[in-house]
Amino acid sequence: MNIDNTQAQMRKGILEFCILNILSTQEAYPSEILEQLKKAKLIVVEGTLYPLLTRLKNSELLTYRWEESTGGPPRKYYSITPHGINSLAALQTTWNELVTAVNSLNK
Amino acid sequence: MKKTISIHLGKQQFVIEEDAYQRLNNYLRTLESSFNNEDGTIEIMEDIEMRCAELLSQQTANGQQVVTLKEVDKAIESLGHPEEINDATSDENTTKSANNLPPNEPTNQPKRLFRDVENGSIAGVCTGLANYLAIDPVIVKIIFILLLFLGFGGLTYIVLWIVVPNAKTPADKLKMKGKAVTVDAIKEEIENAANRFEKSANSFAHKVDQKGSQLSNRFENIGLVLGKVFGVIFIFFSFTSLISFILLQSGNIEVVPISGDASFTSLRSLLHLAVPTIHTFQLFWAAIWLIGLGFPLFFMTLGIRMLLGKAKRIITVALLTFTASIVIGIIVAVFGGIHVARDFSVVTEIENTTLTSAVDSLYLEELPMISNNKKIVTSKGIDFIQIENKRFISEGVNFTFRNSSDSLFHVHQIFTSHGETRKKAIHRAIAINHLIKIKENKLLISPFYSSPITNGISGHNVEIIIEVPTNKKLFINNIATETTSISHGMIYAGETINFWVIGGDND
Repeated sequence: MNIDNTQAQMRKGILEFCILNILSTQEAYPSEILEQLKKAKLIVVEGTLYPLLTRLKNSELLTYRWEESTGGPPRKYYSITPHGINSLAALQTTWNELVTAVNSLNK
Repeated sequence: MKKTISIHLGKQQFVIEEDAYQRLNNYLRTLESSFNNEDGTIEIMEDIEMRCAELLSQQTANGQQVVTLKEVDKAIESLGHPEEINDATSDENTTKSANNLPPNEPTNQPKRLFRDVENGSIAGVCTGLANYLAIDPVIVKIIFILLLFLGFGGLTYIVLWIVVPNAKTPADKLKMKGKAVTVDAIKEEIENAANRFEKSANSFAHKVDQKGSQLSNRFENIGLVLGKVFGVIFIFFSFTSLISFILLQSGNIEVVPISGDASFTSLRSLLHLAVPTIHTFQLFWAAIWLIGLGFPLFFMTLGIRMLLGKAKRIITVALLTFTASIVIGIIVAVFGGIHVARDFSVVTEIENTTLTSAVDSLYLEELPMISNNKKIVTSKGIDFIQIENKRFISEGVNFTFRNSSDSLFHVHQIFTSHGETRKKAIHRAIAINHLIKIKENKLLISPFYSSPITNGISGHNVEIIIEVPTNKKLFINNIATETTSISHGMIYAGETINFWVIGGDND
């Protein structure tokens, strides 16, 4: 069994959840999301984020708008959709259950 | 000193060194292909390019003007390599990680047929096939050119071009060559590609900015490559016709088989022969050059235009010039035609000789040509034009026999010619040479006649009229012939005389 691979799979599973989580409180453009994910050590390479964002957007969990920025090109601001909030709630439940389950087994 | 390129990346303008550009371009292309055309690849790439631009502009913020390899490498490091990204995001790549494969796997990977656009001449079909078959592309190209002559090479090429996919990504290129797709192999391939791009980097410079319009590009490419295929065909055939035209002009290819003692093999001398009048000759000569050069050059320019795929001013000017050349050539040729027609406007017949004979029976016979004391019995040949001593030699003499008004045989030798004026026509008719003789009871008619080449081919004709008195007989082919109102015949060398009788009204 490849430990690296398992870790990658675990991260991948919760990454979408975390993105939704970040966007549930505020609108953000990819670099801001990256910053938070990096701070939380959830992401190793930045390139990982973009396919996920697009996938979430295509599933209509996220939406985006263009906004002009000062002294730079326009930025793509992502925000969560009502559908996304519902999904987030479901994921949150699952997450809580998982944490409880894993903690109970770790004892 | 390094060459720089200006690119447009993620809605920002960058000045980037050539090698850095190549690395960046290859990175983005590899990344794009690693998404396996999943939905939204274009969007993902757009986002990544935006981020890439952001990373680059952060690094170049401190007054640095030009993006170098260092910045690009840093940005790539930050964004992550394709396999790292796919490990974390892809649904399928759970077990198959490129990192887990031993590097430089031997080339036992199944090959796939791709078009090798980068190394190919047109759409890379031949080179792709050669890669697939592991043979020299030149061999495949020669086979295709041979097929072209057989008539289905072009079609085969177009079909293969449509059916076989283009090897776009480094992974495709490896599959094309049957190498295993490993990270190291891809790196090698990218480095190879970088070397190739060095020469044509400028023309590819905008590619980074074109990811969004790939579908429309695909269709544009179909037109472009079709144009190139036809362009090559046009250039090939126009080049061939140009060579043929020049060979015809120089006389290296005989226009018409001419025998005899004169050589009139080039187009110019043949034209002199056909149109001796100097003005008419000049008109036709000009027309031949205008059209003979205009047509191949027009199609060659058209071919080059299609091959280049873009209109350059000089090409447009050339196309217009050659079109004008063809049109003027046609007009001049029409004028030449009018001149020729005028040369035929007046017909004159002259009576060259009249012979009389009082014999009871006249035997019509061919006057044999004697050469080296031998009679030429037949001289049938395939020559279109025969020239001896600057005279056209023609064969076939008409004769007519009818009733005489007195008791003598009368033989009239009539020469016909055409000309612009009566005077000219008479002049030409007089210049005809033809031999008839009456020897005892034989009327000898030569099947040949000649005219000076300076008089051209102006509808010369020789006719012999034989008047047969009542109660006397004309023998043709040693057979007594009933003379009726009018009868005709033709004499050819060495043949039984051919004749026919019109109106069977026997007196």
